[in-house]
Amino acid sequence: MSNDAIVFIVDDDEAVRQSTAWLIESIGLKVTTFTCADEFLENYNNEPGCIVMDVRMPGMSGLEAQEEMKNRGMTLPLIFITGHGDVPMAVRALKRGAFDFIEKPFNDQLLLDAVQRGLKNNSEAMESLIQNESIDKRITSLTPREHEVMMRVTEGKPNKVIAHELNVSIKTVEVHRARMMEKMEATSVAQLVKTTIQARQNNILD
Amino acid sequence: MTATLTRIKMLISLKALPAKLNVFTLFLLLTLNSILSTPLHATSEVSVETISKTSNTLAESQSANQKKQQFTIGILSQTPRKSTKGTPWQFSFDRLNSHPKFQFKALFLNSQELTKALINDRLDFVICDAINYLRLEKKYGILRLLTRAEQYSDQFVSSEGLSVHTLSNNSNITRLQDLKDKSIGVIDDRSSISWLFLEKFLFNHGLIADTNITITAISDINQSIPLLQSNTFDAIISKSGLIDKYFPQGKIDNLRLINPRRGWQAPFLHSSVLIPEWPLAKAWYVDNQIASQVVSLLLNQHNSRSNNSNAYFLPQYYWDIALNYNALNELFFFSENYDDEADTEESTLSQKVQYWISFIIICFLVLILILYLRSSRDLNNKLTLSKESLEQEIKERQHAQEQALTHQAELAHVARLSTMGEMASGLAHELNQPLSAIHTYVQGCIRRINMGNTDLDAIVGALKLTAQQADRAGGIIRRLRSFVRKGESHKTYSEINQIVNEVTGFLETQLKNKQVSLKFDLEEDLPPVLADIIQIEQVLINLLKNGIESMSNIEKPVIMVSTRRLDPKLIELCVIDSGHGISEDKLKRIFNPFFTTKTSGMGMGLSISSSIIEAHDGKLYAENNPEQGARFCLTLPITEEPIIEEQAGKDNNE
Repeated sequence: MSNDAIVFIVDDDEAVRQSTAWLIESIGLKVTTFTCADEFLENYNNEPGCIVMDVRMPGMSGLEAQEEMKNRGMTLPLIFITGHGDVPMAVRALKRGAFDFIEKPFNDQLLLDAVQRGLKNNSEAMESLIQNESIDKRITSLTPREHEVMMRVTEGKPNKVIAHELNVSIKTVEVHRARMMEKMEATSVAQLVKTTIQARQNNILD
Repeated sequence: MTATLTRIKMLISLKALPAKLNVFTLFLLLTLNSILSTPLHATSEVSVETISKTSNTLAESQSANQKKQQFTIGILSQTPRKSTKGTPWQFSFDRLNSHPKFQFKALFLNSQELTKALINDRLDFVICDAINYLRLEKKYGILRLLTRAEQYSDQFVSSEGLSVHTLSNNSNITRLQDLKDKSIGVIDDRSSISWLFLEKFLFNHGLIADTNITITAISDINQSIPLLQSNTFDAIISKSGLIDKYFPQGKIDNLRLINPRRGWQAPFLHSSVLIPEWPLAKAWYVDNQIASQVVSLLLNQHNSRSNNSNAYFLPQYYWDIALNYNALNELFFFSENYDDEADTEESTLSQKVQYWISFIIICFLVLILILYLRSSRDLNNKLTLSKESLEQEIKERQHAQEQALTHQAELAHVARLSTMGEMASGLAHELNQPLSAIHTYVQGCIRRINMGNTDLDAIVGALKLTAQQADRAGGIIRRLRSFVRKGESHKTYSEINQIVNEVTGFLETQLKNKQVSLKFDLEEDLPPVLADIIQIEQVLINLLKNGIESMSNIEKPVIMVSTRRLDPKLIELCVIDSGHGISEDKLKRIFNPFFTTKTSGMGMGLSISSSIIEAHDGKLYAENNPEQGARFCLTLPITEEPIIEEQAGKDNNE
């Protein structure tokens, strides 16, 4: 969990906002508060962390803000707190990817657990994002021939078959393969396969 | 002797009576006289049918003038005539018919025909003698415009009198009373004599036609002197001035005027009083503008005075302004030349008749007085009775009003409970906010203390905020309790803006949930109103709730509350929404009980609100905004806060 992580609290009721901040600060987390969703969206600057937000607010409601954040590609975990939540509202929020849905007045432990899980989730997501970025970098560094070789290696084809398919000598395939393994930072075919699977999952690779 | 004394007394008493009674007596006398003297009108009886025929032929002959507005003038005349040609009226009618738009036609009618024609609204104008006029004015409301005037030498005379002439050598007749049992000739040349006047004149001297005097009409003035000389008549009566004007001086020398009088109104001597000449009167339904045109036409006749002055054979009538009728009173109450000689033991028949008339009148008046006293006693009883019943009714009404007020307060209470029910979830949320804040603050404190974080300042600060939130929750509960307080109306001097603030605080959650933005336009320093705060709050909550609900599918809903001083005595509070507004047919019914456009609710809200405001002497009304949405406004009267109460309040506080 990164120390830079911030818990963003968005609630129009000052008492609720300040008390929630007071509670979250008690476990040593950084907190920033906003009185409405618009204010948060304007000021958010890609910091890691998680959001604690009221569902019903004047202006943009919590659910609308969730939609907007999705449109902007924001992945911050969103924890809804609500005074009069009902099941349909909770289902709707969770279906759209809310991290948690807590009713007021909330059990402090419940909220703090949710916040911490959210932060963990966020930091993991951040990590995987960084990983993806490095895989993407490695794949893009491959020449087209090396890329072709890599695809055939991960399909489990021996060098002889690859040489035949690419209509080159086995020797040439061996050279490409060695360079490809080096660029992909893979020490074994198994590791290469793992990396490509991860790349496929994150749509880096076709 | 006794009879005369009674009569004088009666006359004095009559004089003393109010003017109205005087007129009434006059009328009574007239009626009686006309009944007594009907034989005088034996001359001619033309039925109404003949008149209508005459008028028909006239109408046909004048069809060429159909475009002109037609007016009929009824002229009193004992001798029937068809047209004004050759009569002294001719010149006046020529003047009248010179008007570009009016056409006047004359109808010569005797007294009864004249009355009948007036009853049937067939006459627009009437020309008759002053006495007949008085009768017709009383009965049919005709109004005199002008008085006829005749020219004597160079003077226009608008008064008429009667002259009694005998031969100068006739020593039997020296006073008017001497005419008794005599034969009299009356010169009725061109209907110049006023028969009622003559009759009255004779009556005042104890002479009644066909009873103690014989009267014969002479239609040709030329025959009068020979008839007098041949002793056919003992005297002749003519319109004053007629004989002077007609006969050369020499012939008059043979004649002697009985009871000669001279008045300033006329250049000739006369035997009777002078009364106003014949008036021209309009029927009540004739427009005043038309009447004034007629007046101006006829008055101008003077200016275009014909040059044949002093010529009897081409005579004409002129017109003068309407005269004072005081002279007629004299005619009716005092006989001229009333002298002591009449005061003999042998009272004349006329005196007897007058005595009886007086007796009847007095009896009549006494009867009226008795009836009046009786009816006034009855009236008094009735008044007392109705006063009592009125007082009873007032009591009942007051009681009913008190009951209605209690019912209204109870109903308002029920409605408040219902409103509270509808608002329960909102209120629960409102209460939830401070409760969860309190909980969270306290947990935060506990965690810090457990973790050994002893930043006491921070913890005390948080606890202060916690206490504030507890206060907030308490405030909500307090408001809630006072709102559902039992239905007793309790009016205090209240600031309307404060009520607005209180209520909007109450509805904050609801506004937030519906994403409604609330705006204020509150006039500052408004005087206090005497009101039941809870009830006014109830109305305002109701209006705000309705407004919020009406905007459920509106983008950016806005609701505004405004207060202002409408006039020195009224404060107006409006709740203006930006919803769809209210359709015309619904606008008429929204204040009806059980009328609702919502799926939930009883439809009592506005009905009760309206009755609450009415109980505050205010008004609640709804209208659509010109642009969008509807506005509900209520007015409350400004009541000056009495200083005494304030002091009493201070004393209590002390």
